[in-house]
Amino acid sequence: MSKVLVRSVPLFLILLIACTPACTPKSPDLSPREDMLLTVRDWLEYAQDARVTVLTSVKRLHDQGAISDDVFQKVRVAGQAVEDAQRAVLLAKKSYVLATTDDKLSHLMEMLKTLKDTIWEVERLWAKYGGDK
Amino acid sequence: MIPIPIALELIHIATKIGVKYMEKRAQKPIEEWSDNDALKWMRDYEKELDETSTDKLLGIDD
Repeated sequence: MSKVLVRSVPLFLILLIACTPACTPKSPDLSPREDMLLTVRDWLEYAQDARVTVLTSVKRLHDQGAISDDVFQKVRVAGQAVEDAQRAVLLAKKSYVLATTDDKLSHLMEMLKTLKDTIWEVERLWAKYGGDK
Repeated sequence: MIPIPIALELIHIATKIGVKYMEKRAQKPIEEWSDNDALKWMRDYEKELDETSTDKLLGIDD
């Protein structure tokens, strides 16, 4: 099983990284504000897609008995962390759109960093434990 | 060899994310968005988030 995981993890991570907003080309004509809002929107959409996809897969694998309850709980905790981070970014984005001030922007960027970190965590967990029994 | 269930999940995930990103590219450009567009997007996103909470997706009752 460990060989399987070693082989599947890089493939999975390459697929995910290739789809991240950081690898999506943007128009060079965007203003800094538009660029920021687009970045946030892309990451929120990516987080939602990644969370829904990973959790749906984990549930299916758990139902089939392919992953243990312990792993299921770990992914659940990580999924909830992503969901909380999504809500925090959304709230920060609302404040920024309505206020457009620098302090709101720095808060938004801080929340966005947390979101990215939590997405990596749930994806790392999926890749690490996805096929473990 | 990667087990079939895991391989299928990997293909499923790659396809789903790919389709989503193709859809996103077809969206209205951000330069044409007003603040109202942004706020509407956020309301829709929040609604979708409520409908796809982690425990709902995992089939866990409160």
